[in-house]
Amino acid sequence: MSTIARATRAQPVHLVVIALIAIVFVIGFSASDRFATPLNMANVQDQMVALAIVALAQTIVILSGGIDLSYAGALSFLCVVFAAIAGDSAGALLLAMAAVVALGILIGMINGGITAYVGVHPLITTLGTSTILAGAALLITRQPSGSVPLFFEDFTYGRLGVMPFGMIFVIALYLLIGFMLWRTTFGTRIYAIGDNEAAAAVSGLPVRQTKVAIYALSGLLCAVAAMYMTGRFGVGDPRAGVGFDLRSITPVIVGGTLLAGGKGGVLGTALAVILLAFLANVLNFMNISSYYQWIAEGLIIIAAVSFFAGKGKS
Amino acid sequence: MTATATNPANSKPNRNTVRATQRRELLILLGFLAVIWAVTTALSPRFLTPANLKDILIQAAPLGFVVIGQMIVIIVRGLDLSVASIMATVAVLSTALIDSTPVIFIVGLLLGAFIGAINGYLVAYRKVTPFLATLATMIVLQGIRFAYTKGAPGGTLPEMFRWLATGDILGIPVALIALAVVGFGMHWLLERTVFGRRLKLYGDSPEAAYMTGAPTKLLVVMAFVISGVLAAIAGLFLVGYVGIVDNWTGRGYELDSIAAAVIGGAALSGGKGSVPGVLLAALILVSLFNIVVILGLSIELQLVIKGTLIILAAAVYMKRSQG
Amino acid sequence: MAQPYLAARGLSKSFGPNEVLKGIEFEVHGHHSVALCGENGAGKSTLIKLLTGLYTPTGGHVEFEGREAGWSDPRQSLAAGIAVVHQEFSVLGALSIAENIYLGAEPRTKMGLIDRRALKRDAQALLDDLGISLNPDDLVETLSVADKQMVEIAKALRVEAKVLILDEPTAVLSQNETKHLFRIINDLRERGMGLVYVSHRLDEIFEICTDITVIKDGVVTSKGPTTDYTHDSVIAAMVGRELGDLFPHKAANPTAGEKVLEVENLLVAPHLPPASLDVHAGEIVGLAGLVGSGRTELALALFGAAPSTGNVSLMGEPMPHRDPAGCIEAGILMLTESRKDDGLFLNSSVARNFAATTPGFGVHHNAIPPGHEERRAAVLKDRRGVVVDHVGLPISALSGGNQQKVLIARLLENRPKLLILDEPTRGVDVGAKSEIYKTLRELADEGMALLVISSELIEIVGLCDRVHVMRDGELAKELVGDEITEEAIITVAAAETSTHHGVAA
Repeated sequence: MSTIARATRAQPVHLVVIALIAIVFVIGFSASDRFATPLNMANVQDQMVALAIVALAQTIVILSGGIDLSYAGALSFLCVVFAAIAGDSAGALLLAMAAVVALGILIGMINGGITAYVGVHPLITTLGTSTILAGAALLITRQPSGSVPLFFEDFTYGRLGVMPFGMIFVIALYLLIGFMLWRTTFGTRIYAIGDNEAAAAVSGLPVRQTKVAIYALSGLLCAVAAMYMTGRFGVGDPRAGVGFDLRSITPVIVGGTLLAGGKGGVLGTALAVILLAFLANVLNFMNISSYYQWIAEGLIIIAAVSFFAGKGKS
Repeated sequence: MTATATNPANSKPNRNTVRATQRRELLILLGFLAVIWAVTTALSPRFLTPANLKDILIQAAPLGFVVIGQMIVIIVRGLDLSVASIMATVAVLSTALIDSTPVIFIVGLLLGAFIGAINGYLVAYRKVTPFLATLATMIVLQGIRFAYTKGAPGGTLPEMFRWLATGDILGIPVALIALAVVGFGMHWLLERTVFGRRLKLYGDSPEAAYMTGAPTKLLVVMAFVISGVLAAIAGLFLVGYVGIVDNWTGRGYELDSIAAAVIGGAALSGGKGSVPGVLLAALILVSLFNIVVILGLSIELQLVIKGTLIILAAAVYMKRSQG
Repeated sequence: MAQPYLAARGLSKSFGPNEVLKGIEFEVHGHHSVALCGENGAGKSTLIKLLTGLYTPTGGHVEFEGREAGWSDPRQSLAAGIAVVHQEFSVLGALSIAENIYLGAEPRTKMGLIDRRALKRDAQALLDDLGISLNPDDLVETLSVADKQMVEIAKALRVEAKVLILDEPTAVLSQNETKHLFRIINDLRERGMGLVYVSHRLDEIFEICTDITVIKDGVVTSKGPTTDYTHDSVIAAMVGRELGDLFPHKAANPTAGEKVLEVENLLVAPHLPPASLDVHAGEIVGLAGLVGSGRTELALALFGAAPSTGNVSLMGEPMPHRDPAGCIEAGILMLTESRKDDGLFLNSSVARNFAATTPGFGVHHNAIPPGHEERRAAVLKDRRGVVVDHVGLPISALSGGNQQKVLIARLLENRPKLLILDEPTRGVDVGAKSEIYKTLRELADEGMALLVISSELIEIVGLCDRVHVMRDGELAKELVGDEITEEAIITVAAAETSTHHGVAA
């Protein structure tokens, strides 16, 4: 097997997910006339964007053998801050963007720093920061508040044909991160640390600094997702991030990235995001309540993990 | 063994023994609790009243049950994200099906044990990471619960339920008596039985445990079963306390229980944890929540305090184990 | 002679109570290859870790080109030109060969991106230069162990190294692969590099090394040019003591006792020949052979910790379905090869480690009274001569020898009928070694059956009444009584090379 396969080329898992997407589409076509309409296609994509960005961040962290549960608190906090600053002028919007990006990176660096330098398990570290940030968001405002300039809100609703601007942006992000994993030393280090941290250290890699950078990148992507979400809501919701911590993990695992790190990539995550979004959509058309969708999601996780259980060894 | 062999090992106390280290950790937790209680008492006369202290203890009881189970799973290098979902599912299903309090409890505990066994099976036999296995269980249970109730649970609570959760015997809350019984039982199981020894040894080194003849898979399954049963108890007490059965009963307990377990000295690397430690940690958390209310501070500060405490505690334990 | 590239000057290292190295003097010159010889646990690996800055010395210092190096990180020694091929692989399975070789030093484009084309080209050139035919794009996890070793060497040599240290590089290589490696080593030496070569195989040392340094129990006992040495004189320097002092008497009539273990046609892996052996009460049977000859695998299969087929009986009772718990119950106990990996409970107390195999020993209804563990441990530590201030201390505070005594003591609590010991004295100092030998012989005299695996020939020769020599997973030959000599064992164990690769060892 060649290296290209690692980051980009299709692997068996990808083919399985693609086949499942195809099945979901077939069911969708037969379930409702409204499924194949441009409006529905665009709606499903709209629903994907935020999760796709956060799942991308989670993919990077999990590839390095870590985990980031801080999104729930971080997204809420960043949404509130963004809406509080952005106001209704372009200048304020720029300032808000800069602030949120800086804060996202800072949150990530704190996560990475405590994990890498103090040695606290990333699950505990990010659970802690998430809780703090969730509290901070609610301390700023208990009710959705603040605003974004109308043109920014319009932009997040904008479409190019059936494709929302948000989706185009997501595709660009996935390509960019995929390229980063493939063509930068940072990308190689992410895989190396996730594969075997001790061996990576013996090979002379700056493991700790790299971890800080990984969580910082995760925080940055979280900031991007927060800006998009605030744009869609038009207001800063202090509970915007609730559930995103665990929801971000499902597509990563279903896409074939190992929770233990070192193996997987962004293509699998992208396909899994598409699968899960259309699955929910089709189940809606079939009048199957979201309750059963939860059951399906849980079973899909177990199926995906059992599928990879044999391959994760050795 | 002859009587003359009694205690030669303990003849000279040593600061660095495993037990002395654990004792110091307990003392630190106790000291911390004393300090926050003292400070709050100085700031508000409403804190140190029998009524308020009783309130804190009753509120701490459900978390106390859950955190003991969570700790036992963490001891075998696991993690149980499904505890909150078990709490709600057990409460919703068993109260909807039955209206005799004792039978509700029996069915509820069996249901908790069954769900725990599924978690344990996935982890021990299917080699699924505990995080993912219990995450999946959590989501599936959520679906089953909502699907069964169609979103609106209709279970009614028998009178006895309210009494169990909020009533008292000779001035001592029933919930607290139950927690004390379970706490002593689990402490005895963990510290004084072969099963408990095996659990801790497994967490210290699964490989060495296997080579010394421990039934490793059974241990892991049993740890999750215990966690499931204790979560079920906690769920029933919590609905009794609140007075309504809700689909989101116990929401947040998965993370609160992990937080309390870590603050109480359990390490995700396994093998470490004690019932007194995690119960003290649960008491510390609930006290802090109460203090925020008593002092009239923003309720959201509870989250900030909880998050800060979990990171600080983990960092302190990490430094101690390195030093 | 010119100034050495790399030298140890009075280098010492202690871990807690263990003094592993004492005042080591060691030099590596350009155009020279130095063999570092010594038994397991003599301190070779520790010396290498000190030389490369992975450990910091507790005394003396490392000198590089005449100046005190003061490295605190392997990256610093690597930058200075000290390349190491470690015993444990540092290659990463999830990365390609090329990525592994240039990990942390990838060729970049002007934009700062990894130049994938140059990466492949450079890796290919390096592999070609070393005469290794591998595709640099292949993932390392798909390679054989030998190829991983080659990648490891290529990785070490991607920098302009002045000194190359090889820690037991041939342990996993076939004869042809070893020959290939030797060509590479000789070539590098002729180009002016200084090499350090760690190996147990004396033939290899005499074939490719210009100098020899022998370490025993943490001190240098002998050093000089290879031409000054013979096989025997190296062994003498490595062992450096009279056998009689170290080992107890042997069994007068080893197979006189009752047959405790009987193994017929045990198949550990489908492609290996079946194994048959037995162990009698009162004798110590040795399993000798090179590393990787299948000794540990056979022992694990007997103990039920690895799958196998065939007939195993204990005291005439067949044991068709074995697992460690069942074997312990029946009276088969095993001391594993790696204390730290699957022997010790490192975060638990000495007392708890003593009790680990039998937490319920002497208690009613599985309920352990307070202080029970400590009282038992206090008795056991005196009986087995374990030196510890307090049995409540974590076991990690003990020296290797004392840790090993604890592990042996806890096995004996079960009154084993058969005791399997895999490398019973690995990483144990000489004093503790002789105590362990004495204990094992006493157990045999009391009627226990013992099966001992060891890589130290001297231990097999000094301790065992009968010896099975293993080769390629097969019980190749049984030696009894006076037949048990180092020469006889080596002849059988290393014959592999002549039958399989057509070259005499």
